[in-house]
Amino acid sequence: MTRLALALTALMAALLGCRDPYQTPRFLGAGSVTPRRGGTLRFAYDADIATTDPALTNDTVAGIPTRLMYEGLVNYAPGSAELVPALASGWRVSPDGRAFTFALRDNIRFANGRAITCDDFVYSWERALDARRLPSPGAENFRLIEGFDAYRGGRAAHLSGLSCADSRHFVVRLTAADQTFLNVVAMRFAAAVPREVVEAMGDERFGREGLGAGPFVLERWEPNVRVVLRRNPYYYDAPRPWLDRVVFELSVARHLQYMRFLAGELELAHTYSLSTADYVSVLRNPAWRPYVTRTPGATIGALLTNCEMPPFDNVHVRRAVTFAVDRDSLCRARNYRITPAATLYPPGIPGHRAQPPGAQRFDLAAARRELSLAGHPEGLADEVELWIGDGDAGLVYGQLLQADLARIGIRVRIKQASNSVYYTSLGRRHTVKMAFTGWAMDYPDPSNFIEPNFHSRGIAEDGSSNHAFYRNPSLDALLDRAKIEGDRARRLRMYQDAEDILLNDAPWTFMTTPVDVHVVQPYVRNFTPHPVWNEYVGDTWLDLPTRAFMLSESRRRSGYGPLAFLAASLGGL
Amino acid sequence: MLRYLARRLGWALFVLWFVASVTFVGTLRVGDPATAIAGPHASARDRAFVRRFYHLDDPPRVQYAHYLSHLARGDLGQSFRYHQPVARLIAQRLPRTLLLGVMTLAFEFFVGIAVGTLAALKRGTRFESLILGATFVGISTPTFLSGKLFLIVFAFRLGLFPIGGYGEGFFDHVRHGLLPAMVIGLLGTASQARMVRSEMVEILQTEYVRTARAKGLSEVQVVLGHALRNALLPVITSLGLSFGALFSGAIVTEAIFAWPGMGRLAFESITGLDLPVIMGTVIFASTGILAGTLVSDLTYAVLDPRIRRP
Repeated sequence: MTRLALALTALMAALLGCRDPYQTPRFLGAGSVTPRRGGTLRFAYDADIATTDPALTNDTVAGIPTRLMYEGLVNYAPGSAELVPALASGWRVSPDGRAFTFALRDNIRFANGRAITCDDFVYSWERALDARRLPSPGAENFRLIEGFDAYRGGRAAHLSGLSCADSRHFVVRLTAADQTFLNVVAMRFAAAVPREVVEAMGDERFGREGLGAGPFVLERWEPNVRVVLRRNPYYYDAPRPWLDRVVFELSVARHLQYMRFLAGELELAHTYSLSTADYVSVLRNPAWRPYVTRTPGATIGALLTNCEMPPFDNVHVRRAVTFAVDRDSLCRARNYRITPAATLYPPGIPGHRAQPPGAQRFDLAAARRELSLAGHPEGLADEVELWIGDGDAGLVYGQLLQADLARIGIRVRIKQASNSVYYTSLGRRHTVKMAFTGWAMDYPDPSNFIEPNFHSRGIAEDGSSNHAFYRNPSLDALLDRAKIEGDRARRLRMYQDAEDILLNDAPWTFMTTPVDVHVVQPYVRNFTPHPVWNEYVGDTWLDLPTRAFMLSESRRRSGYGPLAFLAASLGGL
Repeated sequence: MLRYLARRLGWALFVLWFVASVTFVGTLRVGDPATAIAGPHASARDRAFVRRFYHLDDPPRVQYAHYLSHLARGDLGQSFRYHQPVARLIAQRLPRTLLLGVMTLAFEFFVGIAVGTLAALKRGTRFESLILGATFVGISTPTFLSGKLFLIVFAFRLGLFPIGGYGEGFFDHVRHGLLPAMVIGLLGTASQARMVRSEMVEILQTEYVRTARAKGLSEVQVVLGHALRNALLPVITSLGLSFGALFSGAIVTEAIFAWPGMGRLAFESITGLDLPVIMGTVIFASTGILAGTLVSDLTYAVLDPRIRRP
């Protein structure tokens, strides 16, 4: 019996320890240097999508096929946050900054071949902002359009701020100048949809079978399994897209994504395909290393302290916290998949400064000094509750933070809540003293990071977006002026001044920014991670393996039966 | 019999109402669905619009009356997240879970019987020890562990099965379902094998088996035609009872193998606070269990008239 148990254990060990069959990429490119049309690009996410209706899509995952299917007036240049014309050939802004006139390109069409006119934009925008029709999560971004409140409230049949000068010129009038309005126009919610298709299908079916004017058109959507997109032959920016098809697999667990990528079943693995162990492994593997890209993510992770609740109503206590957090240890705990942050605006966002004067830093002596100034030289008498949401990462950060703050005499008790309870509680006044927070941008502009989180307009009894309940009239006034400032350089300086105010008042302790990681198969060309659009493959092409290579690979593989493969694998022991 | 049937139906409806009410009350206490729908950083105005759009700002008693009146008409409501009827979402995913369930039961049934019978026939040998040891491991291994282990060894490293997913077309679905069905069925197969073995050991020593051998029947005829037929009765009963356990096992296994069934739907609706889908899946599962219990009660009542007496 003992020998039997030993034999079983040896067999299990052999099976688990057998050679990893995918130490090197299975397929290489054909060596072409000019873009080639054709091929299917496959990638996956561990989530399902609910809709591809651009008026309703709010989450990262659904945003990927939606971006590939729909196009708006303006967009971002490849791999950059610079605004460029898309379906519009250009735009003109009135001297008072309140009227935008977009000139449409000639011969632009939806994916069904129907020509796009100005009326399509009036229809698409009114549809997205009709509160009786769709609960569009992006509606509030358009609040400066004239007649917005009356239309949303059902008191007007049309949005008075939208009009057509003629069939090729779309005019938008605002109630106040806003330098970020073009960023709003570039959002998915403002994409063109064909009226006759929407009305024939109805909104619900359009969310599942819709079509737009983007580089790809929906071929098939198997709920919770995959979305298959094919090239839109009427795309305005021909000869792009290069790919014939994109297959976006849904609800594929992270461990499966990485295994399937290594096995050559997916062309692209992204940040959410890689566990920390996979991340380290792929970076250390010289065969895969050339195909890895790491870019700073446009997200900020932070610790908020409620400025209305003791002890954090005292600025010295808040500053003490900012000095006590050892950001390097947080990054080490995640194998440097995140980088330390010292300011609000992440790298890549206009106005970002790496180390401005007053940038937050780890300095225990300064932390103790600030606590003394607050009247707590020995630390705080009472324990402080730290709220964290779902997931293991928050718990790890929480425990590290507990240790950091204990060093200056602040005892922390961790309270983990489901994300829904967590976010509801953060927005409720006098409820959460300290919590992990952060911001993923809607569009790449400093105003999008600072206004929702720190302008006093964001404070409400319930549903506050200013979760630190920070109120500073000087900051409010500065942000209101910056919003309409026409000179770009002056405007960015104003946002940097606003950031300095925050660094001094410390409602948030800035902690980390993520590193976005992508690994592609060797034959994937021109995939550049985009700062705004996740997994945008509209410019990507495949340097497909040559026929000779495929034949030799096929011969090699057919030589392995399962048993031969088992023997070959065990031979690697 | 009719009175008995009416009484059982009445109880079933009461239990269904109770489950529906408890689920409704539970969903009132889980946070703000408007935050889940509009996103954590949505403005207060956006959240207010969402609440109004989905009638989440109605008083709870109005929401409850609305919910029950729709439920009574068989309407499980509209998903917040998918903007589709909940019944359609369940109908999309149910066949996938049923396919996995049928494959699992088939695996449990055939492999369990084969292994159990062989162990009984090889009683006292090393082979029997091996089988007993393997079934012990099978019963003791949790699904989340065996699932990942099988995936890494048999799919990723040895390439004998697809690396998770659902495939395209019926036969491809079956091919992709083999490994998850084996994982879910591991525990059941081990139990069935042990049960068959002990039944067979007992039956092979009975008088009628000895008589069959004395008549000159071949060993195959004796085992398959006489002994196994009688050993199967408790196995079939326990297979029926294990159907409920399959659903809970499928929730974990569907996640590990990316099998897009009911388990994934239930899991994602809970994490996304999609209240109509949470309530719909709970009501659907409860109705299934109640229907099963009702059929079982009625069958017993038909077989045993004493049960029908008041």
